[in-house]
Amino acid sequence: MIEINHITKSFGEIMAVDDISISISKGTIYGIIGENGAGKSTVLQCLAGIYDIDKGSILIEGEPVYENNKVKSQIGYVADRNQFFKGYTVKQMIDFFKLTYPSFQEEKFNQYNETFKLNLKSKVKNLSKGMQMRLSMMLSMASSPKLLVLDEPTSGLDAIAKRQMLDLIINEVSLTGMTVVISSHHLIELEKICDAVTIIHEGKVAYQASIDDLKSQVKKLQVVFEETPPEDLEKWPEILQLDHIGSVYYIVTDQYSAYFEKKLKEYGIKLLEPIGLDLEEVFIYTGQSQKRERGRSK
Amino acid sequence: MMERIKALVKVELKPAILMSIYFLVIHIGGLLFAGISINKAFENYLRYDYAPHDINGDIILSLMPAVLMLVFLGMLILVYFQFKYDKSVEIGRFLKALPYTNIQRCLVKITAGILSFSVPFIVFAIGLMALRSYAINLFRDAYKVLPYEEVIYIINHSEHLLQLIVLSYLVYCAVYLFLFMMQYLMNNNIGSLVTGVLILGSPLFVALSAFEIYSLTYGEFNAEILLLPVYGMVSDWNQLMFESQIPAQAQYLNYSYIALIEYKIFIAALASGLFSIIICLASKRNKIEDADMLIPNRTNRWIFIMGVTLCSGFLLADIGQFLILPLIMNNVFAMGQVMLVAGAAVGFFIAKKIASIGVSHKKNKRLRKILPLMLLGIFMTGCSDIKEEAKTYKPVSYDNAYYVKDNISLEPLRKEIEKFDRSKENDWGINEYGDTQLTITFYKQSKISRAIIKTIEEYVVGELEEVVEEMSAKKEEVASEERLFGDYGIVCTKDHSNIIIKIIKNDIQITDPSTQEAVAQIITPDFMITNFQAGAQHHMIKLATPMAVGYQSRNYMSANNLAIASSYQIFRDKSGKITKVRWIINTFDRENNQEENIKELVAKHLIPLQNAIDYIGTQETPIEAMIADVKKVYVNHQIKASGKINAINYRIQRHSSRNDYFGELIEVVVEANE
Repeated sequence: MIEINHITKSFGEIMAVDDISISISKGTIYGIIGENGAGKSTVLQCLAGIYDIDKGSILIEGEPVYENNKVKSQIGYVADRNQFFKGYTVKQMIDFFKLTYPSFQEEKFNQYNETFKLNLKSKVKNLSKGMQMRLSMMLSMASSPKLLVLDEPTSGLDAIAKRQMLDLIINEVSLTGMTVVISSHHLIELEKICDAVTIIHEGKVAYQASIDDLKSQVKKLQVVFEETPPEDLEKWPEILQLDHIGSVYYIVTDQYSAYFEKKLKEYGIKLLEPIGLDLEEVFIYTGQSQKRERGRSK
Repeated sequence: MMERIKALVKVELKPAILMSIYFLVIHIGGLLFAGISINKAFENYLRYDYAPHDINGDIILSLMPAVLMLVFLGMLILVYFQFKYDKSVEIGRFLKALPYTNIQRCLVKITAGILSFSVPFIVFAIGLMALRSYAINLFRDAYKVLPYEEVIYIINHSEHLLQLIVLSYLVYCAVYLFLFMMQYLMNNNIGSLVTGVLILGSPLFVALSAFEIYSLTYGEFNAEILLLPVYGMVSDWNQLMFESQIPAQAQYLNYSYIALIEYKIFIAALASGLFSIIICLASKRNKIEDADMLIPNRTNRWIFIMGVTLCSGFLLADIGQFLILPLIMNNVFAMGQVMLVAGAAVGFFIAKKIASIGVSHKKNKRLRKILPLMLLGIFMTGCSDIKEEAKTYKPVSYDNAYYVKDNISLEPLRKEIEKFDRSKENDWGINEYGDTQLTITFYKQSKISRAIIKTIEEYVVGELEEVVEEMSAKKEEVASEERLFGDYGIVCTKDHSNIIIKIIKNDIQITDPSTQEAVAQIITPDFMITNFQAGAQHHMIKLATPMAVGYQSRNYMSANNLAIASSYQIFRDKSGKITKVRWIINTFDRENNQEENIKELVAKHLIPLQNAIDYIGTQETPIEAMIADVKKVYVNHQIKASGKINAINYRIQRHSSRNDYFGELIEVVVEANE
C-alpha cells in the first residue's frame, strides 16, 4: 500500500506539487496524468525517493521513502531520458544492478532481452534513446521491485516497442503482483493498462478515480431540447463544456448521474443520448474546464 | 549491505584508479629525481670532496613543493571526475534513486579519493626513507672526516623526514578534502574547483595588493604565510658556524627545515578533520533538487559575493595604479582608490549575478554556517606565527691537529708576470682561479713568452721551459703534460698554436708526524696533497695529479686534450690506521688510445693505490685481479665490479651522469676487511 499524504514540493517560489494525496493499492497499475509542467514527474521523483518533500508524507508499506535504503531497494525507477553511466556497457550496467539490488535476476533480464534484443557489449552512450529506455525498463523490471515508478517510459519508442513494453508491464504485474505508478502523455495506452488515475493540474489533484469511474463520471451528452435550453445552462456547475449545432446541444459533464439527467429533463428534452469518452478526451475536457475556472477566478 | 556498497565502490574506483596511476607516476618521478640528485651529488663529492650536508633539506625538502603542485593538479582532476556523474542532472537522479544514502555515497567517494593518493604516497614515503638511508650511507665517508659529523646526523635524522612525510600527507588530505567540500557547497563541477583554487590564492593576492597600494612596509609580515596550502612546505633555513683555531677557516653548515612543523601538522590535521565534518553535514543535507542553484546556501552565496567584491576591487585598483594610470597622470593614488571602489562595485554585481544562478528567491531557511567555518579552517592552515629559529644545535669547534694551510698565494707571481708587455705583438693572457691556480696562455711564441716562462721557472724552481719545448715539438694538435715541482703542479697544454700553462699551488702542509709518515709511504712524485678534512674520529687526505686539480676546477682547460686524471681519498681513523682508500679516475674520450691510457693508468696513477694496499696489509699484496677489473670497467665491458684480495675488499663503479664536459668517473674503493 502506497500512501501519498498531502505532499507539497516547491522549487524556490514555484510550487510544483501542492497538497497532493494519492492512495495506491498493492498490485495495481496507477496512472498519473497531467499537462507539461503539471507536477507529474515531481510526484514520481518524490515517490522514488529522489526528491525530498517539503510537507506531507510518502509511506510505502508504512515506511518513508526518502533516504531509506530498505524501501528504495524495492523500488524500480525508469526516467524519461537516459540516466545511466555513459561510458558503461550494457553488461557493466547489469553487473552494477546485480550488486545494487539483491533481488536482481539476470535470467529475467536475458529473457526480456530476447524481445528487445540489446547488444550487451554496446556502450550506453551509443544506444539510441529508445534503446536506452528499453535498457532502463529491463534493468528495473529484472530487479523484481515491489514498486515500479515509470516516468514517460514509452517516450522515444516505436509503436511495436511501445506495445511490447506495455505487454511486459501487464505480464509482470499479473505474475509478481508488483505495483506500477506510471505517467505518460499517451493516454490511450494508460487507459488500456491502468486501474486508476490521478489527473494533476498545476500541482493539484484535478480528478482521481478508477478509469471506469472516471469514464462514467465524465460524459458527453447529445441533447435536443423541446423548446429553448435554460439560459444559464453554460453556468451549471456540472457542465464542463457546452456546444451546439443547430438544435443539437453537446454537453460535457464531469458529474454525470441519474440526478443530472433528471435535472436536464425538467427543461423538456426530445433527445438525450450519452456518448462515451476515452481517457484522452476526458483529460482534454477536464483540462479545458480547469483553465476556464482559473480564468473565471482571476 | 557490504555487497550492495560494492557496486558504488566499483563506480568510484574507476576515476580513483586512473588518478592513482598519475599520482604514482608523480611520486616515482620525484623519487627518481631525488635519486639522480643524490648520485650527481656523489659525483661532485668524488671530484670536489664536498658532500651535501643537508640530505633532508637540500634533496628531499626542495623536491616537495614541485611534487605538491603536481599532486594538487591531479587532485583537481580527480575531484572533477569523482563528481562528474553526480553533477549531471539525469545520472544524478538515477544515483539518487538507488538504495544508497547520501552519506554512503559520500564516504565511498572520499575513501576512494583518499586511497588514490595514499597508496602512491606510501610508496613515495618508503622510497624517501630508503633514499635518505642510501644517501647517508653514500656520504658516510665524507661526513666522518668533518668536525660536525654528529650535527649532520642530527639534521638528517629519520625523525625529521618522518615529520615531513606526515606533514605532506596531511596537507594532501586537507587540500583534497577542501576541494571535495567545495563540490558540496557549489553545484557546478568545474565552477567549484575554480572557486576552490581562487579561494586558496585570494588571501595572498589581497594582502600583497593592500600592501602595495597603500605602500605599507612589510616589517614582520611574511607574505609567504598566505601562500595556501603550499606554505606548509615552504622551508626556512639556518646556518651553523663551526669555529676553527684559525678564524679564517671557520666552517659553515646551512640547512633547510620546516619551522614549527609540529604546529603545521596539527593545523593540517585539524583542517582535514574540519573539512571532513563539513562534508558529512553537507552531504547529508545535499539535495538533487537544488542542482540548478549554483550556490544553494544563502550564507555561502553572500560570502562568495563579498569575496569576489573584495578581490575584484583590488584587482582593478592594481591594474589602474600600476599599469594604466601612471601613463596618464602623476598622482595615481586618489584615482587608484576610485578604481578600487569601481572594481568592487562591478565585482559585486557580477558576483551577485553568478551567485544567484538557479535561485528563484528561495524562501529563507535556517542559515547553515558552513562556509565561515570552512574559511577559518583554510586560513588556519597557513597562518600560524612562524618566526622562531630552530636553535637545537650548538656550534662545535674543531681542532687542526694534523695540518696547516699555507696562506702564501700565487699573487706575487701574478704581479711579476703582469709586468710584461701585453701588446698585440706579444700576444698572451693571464687568468687566476682563487689563490692557488694561475693560467697563462701564449697565443704565439715570442721573447716575452720565453721571459715569462723563465720567471715561472724561477718561482716554482723547475725545468718548465723543457716541458714547453717538448709540447711545442709534439705532432698532435692537442696534447697535455703535467709535472710536479715541489709544492707546485704544472699542467702544460698544447692547443693548436696556443700553449697554456697552468700553475697549481699546494697549500696543505701536514704537521702530524704519523700522518706525514703515512703520506710518505703512499704518495708518489706525480701526486700532490690537495685537501685535508678532519673529523672527531676520522680524517681524509686527498692526493691528486695536477691535471685532476685543473680539470676539477675546469678553469682554462679543455676536455679535448686529456685522457686521464686521477685522485685519491685516503681515510684514516684516530689511531692513524688507514680504513679506506678511494681512487677516483677521471676519464675522457675512453675509446681513443685505450691501450696507451691503460698503460699510463697502471704505470703512474695506480702506484699510490698499490702503496696504500701494502700499507694496510703491512706487506706487498698482489692486486692483478683488481687491475683486471679496473680495465674491464675502463673499456666499458661492465659498469661495476667487486672482489677480495687477502684482507682487502674492493669495489669498482663507473659514474657517468655528467659524461660531457667533466668526463666520466671510475671509482675504486679499497677497504680493510674487518
